[in-house]
Amino acid sequence: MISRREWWRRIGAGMGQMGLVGVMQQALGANPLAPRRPPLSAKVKRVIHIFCNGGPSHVDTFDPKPALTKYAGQPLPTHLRTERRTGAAMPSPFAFKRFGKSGLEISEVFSKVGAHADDLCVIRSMHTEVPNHEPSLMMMNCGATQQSRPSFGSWVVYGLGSENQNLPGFIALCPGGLPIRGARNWKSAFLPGAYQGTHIDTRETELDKLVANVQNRLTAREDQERQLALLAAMNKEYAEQRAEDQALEARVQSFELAFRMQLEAENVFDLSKEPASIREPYGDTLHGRQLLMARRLLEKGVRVVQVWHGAGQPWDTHDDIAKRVRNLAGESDQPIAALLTDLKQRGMFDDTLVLWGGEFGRTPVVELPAFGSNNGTAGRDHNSYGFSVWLAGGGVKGGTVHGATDEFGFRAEVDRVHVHDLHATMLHLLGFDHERFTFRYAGRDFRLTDVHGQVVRNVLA
Amino acid sequence: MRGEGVPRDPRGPRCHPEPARIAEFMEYPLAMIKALEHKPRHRHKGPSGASVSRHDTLPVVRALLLVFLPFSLATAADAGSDYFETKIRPLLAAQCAGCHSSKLASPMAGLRLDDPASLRAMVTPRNANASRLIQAVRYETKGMPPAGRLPQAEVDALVRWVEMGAPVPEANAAAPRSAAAKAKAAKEHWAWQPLTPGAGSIDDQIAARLGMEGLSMSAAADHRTLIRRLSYDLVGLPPKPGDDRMTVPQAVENYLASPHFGERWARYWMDVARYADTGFLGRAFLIPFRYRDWLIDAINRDLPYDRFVAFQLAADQMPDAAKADHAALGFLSLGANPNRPEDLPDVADDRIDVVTRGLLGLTVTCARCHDHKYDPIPTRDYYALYGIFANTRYAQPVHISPLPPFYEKRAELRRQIRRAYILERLEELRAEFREPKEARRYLEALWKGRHLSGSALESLAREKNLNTLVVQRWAARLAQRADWREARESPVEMYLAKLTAPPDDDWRSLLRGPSAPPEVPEEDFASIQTEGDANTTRDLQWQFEEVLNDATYRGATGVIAGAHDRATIKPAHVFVRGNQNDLGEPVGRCFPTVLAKEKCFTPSGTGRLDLARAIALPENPIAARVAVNRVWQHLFGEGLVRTPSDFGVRGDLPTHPELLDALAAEFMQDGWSTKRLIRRIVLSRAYQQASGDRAEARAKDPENKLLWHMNRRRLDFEALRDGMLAVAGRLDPKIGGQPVSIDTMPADPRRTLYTIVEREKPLPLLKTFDVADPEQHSPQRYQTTVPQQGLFLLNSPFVGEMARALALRSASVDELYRHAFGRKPSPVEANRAMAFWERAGAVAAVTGGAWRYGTAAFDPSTGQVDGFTPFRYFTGRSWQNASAGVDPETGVARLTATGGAPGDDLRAVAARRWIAPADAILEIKGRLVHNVGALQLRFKLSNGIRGWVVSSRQGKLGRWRIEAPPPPKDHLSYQANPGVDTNLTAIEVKAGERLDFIVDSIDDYEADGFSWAPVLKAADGRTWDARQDFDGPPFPRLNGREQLAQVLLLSNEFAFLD
Repeated sequence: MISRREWWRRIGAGMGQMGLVGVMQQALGANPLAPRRPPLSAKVKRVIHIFCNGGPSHVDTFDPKPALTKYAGQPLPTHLRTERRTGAAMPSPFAFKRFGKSGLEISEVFSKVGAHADDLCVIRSMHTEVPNHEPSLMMMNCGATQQSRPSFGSWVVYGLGSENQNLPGFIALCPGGLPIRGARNWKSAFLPGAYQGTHIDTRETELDKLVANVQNRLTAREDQERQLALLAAMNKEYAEQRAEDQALEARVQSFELAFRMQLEAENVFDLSKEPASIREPYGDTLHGRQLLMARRLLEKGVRVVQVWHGAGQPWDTHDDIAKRVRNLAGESDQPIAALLTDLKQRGMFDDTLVLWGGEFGRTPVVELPAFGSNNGTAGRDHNSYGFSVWLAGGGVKGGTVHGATDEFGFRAEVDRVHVHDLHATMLHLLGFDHERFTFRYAGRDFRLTDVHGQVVRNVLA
Repeated sequence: MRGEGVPRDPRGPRCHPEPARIAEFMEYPLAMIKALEHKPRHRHKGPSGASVSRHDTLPVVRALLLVFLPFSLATAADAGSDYFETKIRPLLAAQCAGCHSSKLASPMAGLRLDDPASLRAMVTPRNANASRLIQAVRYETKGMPPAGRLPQAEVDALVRWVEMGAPVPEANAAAPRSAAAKAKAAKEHWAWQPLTPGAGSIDDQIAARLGMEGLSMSAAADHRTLIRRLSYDLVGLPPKPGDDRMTVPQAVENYLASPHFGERWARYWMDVARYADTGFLGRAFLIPFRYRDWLIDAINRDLPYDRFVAFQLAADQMPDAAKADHAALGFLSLGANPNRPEDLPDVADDRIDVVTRGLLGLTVTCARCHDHKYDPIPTRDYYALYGIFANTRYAQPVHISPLPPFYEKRAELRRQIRRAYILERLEELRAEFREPKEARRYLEALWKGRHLSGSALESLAREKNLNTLVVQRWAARLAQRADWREARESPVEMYLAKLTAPPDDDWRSLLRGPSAPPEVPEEDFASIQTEGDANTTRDLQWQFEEVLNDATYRGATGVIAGAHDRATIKPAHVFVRGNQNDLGEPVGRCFPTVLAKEKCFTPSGTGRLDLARAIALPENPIAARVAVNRVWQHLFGEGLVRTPSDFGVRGDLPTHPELLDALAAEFMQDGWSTKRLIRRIVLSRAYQQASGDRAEARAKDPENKLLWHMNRRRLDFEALRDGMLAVAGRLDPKIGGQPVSIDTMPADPRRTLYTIVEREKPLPLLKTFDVADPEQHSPQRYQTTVPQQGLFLLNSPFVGEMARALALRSASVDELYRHAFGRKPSPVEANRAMAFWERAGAVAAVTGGAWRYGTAAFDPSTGQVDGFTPFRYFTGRSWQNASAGVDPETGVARLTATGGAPGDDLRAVAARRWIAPADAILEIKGRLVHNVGALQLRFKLSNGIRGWVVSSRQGKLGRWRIEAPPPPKDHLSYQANPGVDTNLTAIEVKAGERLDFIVDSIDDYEADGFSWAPVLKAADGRTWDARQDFDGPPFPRLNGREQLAQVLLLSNEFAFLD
């Protein structure tokens, strides 16, 4: 078992020889979630990641490719290897429009998000390594396709702690169950369990099902207060016979925190506490509710909130792009627009980082029918060579496009941005040098970006 | 200043170094120091000499750090070398080596960018614009690489490197940067030297070391504390009543002989072995609990540690191993095991890690991409082990008795289906490769790449979207043909014309017949399959294994998971920079050179058995040191080496090196007996010290490195939960068996180590309480204190249930205290408790609604229902009999709010029972749907289901059959399975009459999940809705006594070991 002393020795590894560990430990107490300042100047202090799991089609959303119309129904001059069998070029069934002063081109299916075009920085040259969901989810969330590594959110909470001790520091909202690879997407791996993301099924409405054991059904509240008073008295006597052991005190405090968390959770998940003028723009839909919940959590000081589109992989549109992408975007377009407006109204936009995207993109060519894959109706296959994400919020250069895919949207060609680069950039905005932000484990100092990653300066305001 | 110069410099560079960096934890400590400047605290020189700082030095320290750290770690040349190694070499290897490598027979333009001289000729140091290399990649001159411009970041990196002076590490660039320093470490580092045991007993040595600092041991703890300490440490449970009547030596013998000893210590080993019950994508491993049970048994019978290790690495090759001992191979098998062929390096890496860190305290996996930066572990050594583990096939079923026919039939069916699928797809894919259009693509690519081979050829295949294996087959075949080999102009058109012309045997054999390139053999199917194929064959394989698991759960002990060597051993090569497509020099299968020179293993097999034997040898004491240290850590809370899986130069030095060696020596002399080792330690005065504070000792040794008192320890999660079960009188002492869930109502009373560990779906509770992460080997557990722990203790049904049981078995406050703490309450405590005790309150009688959930015997020929046994556990989603997995008696039978699974035995079918509260006339509405997956449908695994409504008074009221639909053309249509309406009208029932809603599997017992949530409506408007009414067991509030009991369970006195 690792004592707190050992724990701080690891955290402040460089200081071990200076004998300062004990001092830091004193100052910060034993709470691994105590808020901390980042080592460098930060533009943002919290992150919301809107995760379109399944792989949203970039050529139908944020990366217009008129050349596909020219080649419609014909093979493309360059055809990259795809995971499943693919055929001819398939133009987007959607119209792209220019939005805002910047004239950013965005698909009609995201026209409400488009109204915020001048705040978005669309990276059209993303690429990742494998056109399979599992490794790409791991890459996007944990920075490694296969091996067990801590998730982005866990790293951030490890680095910054949380502003609110009555709630988990990293929360993953996913309605209806879990995405593919489940809790691995928000795992803390070799970081302490306190940094693990907490999953909340936003389809549930009962508080108890949102956060485990957060509701006291065993006793009336005044009974529990009496119990805690007795517990405190017993623990005090126990500690008096055992001087100088902070582990005892830390455990006493954890009960007080738990008690307060009960009250806080009741409050934060109760959306009826929001005025109608705020609730209405989000809309009384699953996605409207969960994005509003996300905003409430961020406002209460939760460090990282991930908002998943749904269980499984809803954006995995191997079929019927015209209908399915319209529906999927339709579910989230208005709530995302409302979130951006809401963050601005509250003055949170400038110190929040918003990331929208999936684990990869989709092919500009149609996927051919195959058993176990699709039914062959105008869908697209996975594409790890090129895809789009967008950033918004503090420190992000709004109204801009960074990078480009080739003429057809198959492969990122100009100013390519690997997922490692995206991570490096996000850590930079949070005040970390991704090359120095490490954790010692198994004889190595691990990083989110492993040995890769470059900050994409061009997206920074 | 390099790490090896100052062996334990915590600021040494990283495994993956960045030049001129503060290598350790970012700058974050600096920020903390800043915050602390106003809160100085005195620290004194510690006895170990490691802890030196006084508050008045703080600002100075800070200034030094700020000024010097960024520059102090590496000379400029080193920084350049680092930059080259981390940025430039990989870039050149990935982007340029295809054409410009000395590995090629004739590199393009004679340029070999992996040769320092050749590379230097391409650059003008500190003048990027004048460097030919830079001009080429900027497309100013040559336009390199020809396939497309490099990403700007890579061009920038090259420019930066040239501006740094284009440093290239000298001579053999792949050699360790400081081979001499590492060689020195190999000769001198304590962990790799022969043992130098100290004289005297444990106590002599501890006392002597304390004496050097003017310290002494604390007095012995009181008897009750000692018994509790021993009980938790040895068996992981609180002492039983009366245990404190034993003397300490008696108690030690008693606990060492207890069958629960093996449970406690097996769980420790499960952390080492990254134990899990399910793996990649939730795949259920083949009977992993057999491994866990093997551990318990081996530890209980004190299997000598050297043999304990050998069984786990090579039971399949040990002549004296029984078949049941093959379960020990779970140590290798239970990793994440991703299933794609290209994942093999990760699979092997996981094993290398668990073996080297777990058994040898060596961080060998640091050497996967480059030589270990600090320890003398060259990359060759990593791949020497890779050759062993990549050639071992894991999780292979070993039959120790034949399967019962019921399971054999189902297993065989899946085997056949899988084979048929592969053969069918193989033919389709071959036909594709034969198509003239495809043949053209391959021929054109191969003409273009006629000078390429190996990884360059593979890169070309990937770039052209061709199958790598088929490219290789074409390349091999074409190389035999003079009309290709000697052609000066492209012969592709000529080839295609011949290939599509009327048959000619010579040409025909290029497209058809066993040696034709498109004719990929069956064993290579995995190399050409599509993603859909991979998913389908994988799912069928997993279904097959699930049948074996089911059989085991149901008591047929037929199978365990083993491992064996591949039939043909594939020689291993170094993967250059860890890239499996970039083969470096070949390596044999050998032991790490730092531990034994020139120890290589049999050319015939993998050498696993040799490896196992080489690990635990008296002349190689590292294994004994590591093992002894782990035991010490579990008994004291900290090891003598506080980095228990890293004994390398960056690990901690032992606090008592000679004591560690003495223990290791005695351990080996004692026949590697763990029990004797534990006995020696716990009978020492050092172990039996009180844990109380002594200010003067604490001032000198605040971390208690010298053991001037016993460490106070918080119970780990297993001990805490088991302790609650024990004091509540609920603990089920059964040893071993299938995993359970600890997340049900009522609680499963099995010990916590039996919790099912699902790697992809970990129970958040386990993480909350710092239970080891099953993804990787875990040397130590964290001990965090977070409010979610408090929420579980305050509000969970489990703790509530334990509090209730504890209160119920305690007739008085005195007895309550005796059960919880093994002592009487003080008068103050008793007095305070009375306020709670007196509010006993009446227990409200709670009745469930009209619904019951259970199993019954059912005879489809008569529609007769007999007996009804309620399900035991509610999981939050379903009622079932096993808290996890498959119940031995009733199989998978279960009921959820909206459906369930019928089970596989007509003597126990899932029955949703409704009991009429009064006479009524009912209308019953519902829709029964058969939930089958694409695979079941496609391969016609199920023949359908039947739904029944049976009245206890009137017999069968309704019966519906759902035939399995015809195989679908695509996987989407199964979702449209409409099911059947199960509506009944004007059903007259009398009060107390029972209606059973039953589904049966029609004898085939295949995956026959169903949805069926009937709604009963009485004529007077009362409604019973199966879905809405569905609920777990009632959960009344705690009365005063129970609240008091809960507080005792939550107290620090309960949670800490003095």
